[in-house]
Amino acid sequence: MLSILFLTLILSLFWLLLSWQFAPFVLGCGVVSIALTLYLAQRMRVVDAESLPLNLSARIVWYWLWLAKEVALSNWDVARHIWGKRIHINPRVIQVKTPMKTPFGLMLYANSITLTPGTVCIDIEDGQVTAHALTDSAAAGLESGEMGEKIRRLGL
Amino acid sequence: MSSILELMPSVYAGASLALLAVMGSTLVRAILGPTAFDRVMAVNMFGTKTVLLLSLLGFLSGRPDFLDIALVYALVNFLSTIAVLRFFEGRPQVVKQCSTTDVDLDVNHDADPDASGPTTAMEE
Amino acid sequence: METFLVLASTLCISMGVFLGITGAIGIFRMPNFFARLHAASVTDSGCAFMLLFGLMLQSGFTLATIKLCFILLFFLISSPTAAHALAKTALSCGAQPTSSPREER
Repeated sequence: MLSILFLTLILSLFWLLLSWQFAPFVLGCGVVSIALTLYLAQRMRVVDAESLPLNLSARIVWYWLWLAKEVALSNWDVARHIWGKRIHINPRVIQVKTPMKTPFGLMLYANSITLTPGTVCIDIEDGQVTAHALTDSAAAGLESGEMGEKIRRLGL
Repeated sequence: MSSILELMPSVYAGASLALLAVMGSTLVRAILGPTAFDRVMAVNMFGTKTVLLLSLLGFLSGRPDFLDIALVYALVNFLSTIAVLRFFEGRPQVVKQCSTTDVDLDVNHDADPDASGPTTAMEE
Repeated sequence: METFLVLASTLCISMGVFLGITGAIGIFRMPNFFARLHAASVTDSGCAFMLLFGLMLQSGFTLATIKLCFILLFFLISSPTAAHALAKTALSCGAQPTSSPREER
């Protein structure tokens, strides 16, 4: 019930921010669309405890800053490989153990891996991440497990 | 009105031109292929660049309404990429048809033996 | 202040365009599909972030900035998902994740 209320709030804010018009007709359209969205979300059973991320601590901001730094560094790395005279790449599939247990943590981990250029997450199965790495340094960075450790320390 | 702000439209215009060139080269990659996934990837990249170009054009013409179009285009682009990939999943024959070379595509690996040639699926 | 903002956003936009051109060159120079996917991922994460950030600096605290934030947030979620879906589908259809020596240029 709480998550439905939360979803309604988010959807109303979204509508108001995007339209920024307060004529009665436009507001009525908003109410109708929010009701329709809530009905569809109920029918698809996508409203559950996960859509209300209350257990996120404020420390995730530090994780995002660290991730931005990592993304910038590996962007530079991949760009250097692209502009280089000869392409020295060593693409391969690697497997890494994941320390986190919650679905949200796994999602965050997989998205972070893919967001970082040079590594693409392919699959997650029973605590094992299958990823594709472009270069040796990208593979080494993933195998060091630093990113997973940081997410685990967030309590996810 | 200081003069340095008048520099911005030319920055937007230059960035738009560069993005147009990038979009053209992704189209070339989409036509060349060689595999079906290269084409999907190129089209996805083309859509991303379209969103960025729309935002730039909105700033260039001084009409922020363009951002709404860009937002909707981003949603549609993502959805179409996922839809095409879902269509490809488990249909190695279709993937082979959409590829000009069979680079690394191991189609006969688990296709059933009495499936007729690769020309049947797309004729309708 | 205005001068600083104009310089900063020009720098951000040109960085974004540079990353976009890098990705466009990458999808032509890389030898196989998975390597090209990495090149495309450069542009998706870096180019979009830098360009939209540069535009945000110009629009200031307006509705346009909020919309740019939404576009950026959506990109940060959707582009890894699209890359992951591409990689997974390609692998399940039998694309080779390693480049054989003859393809290296």
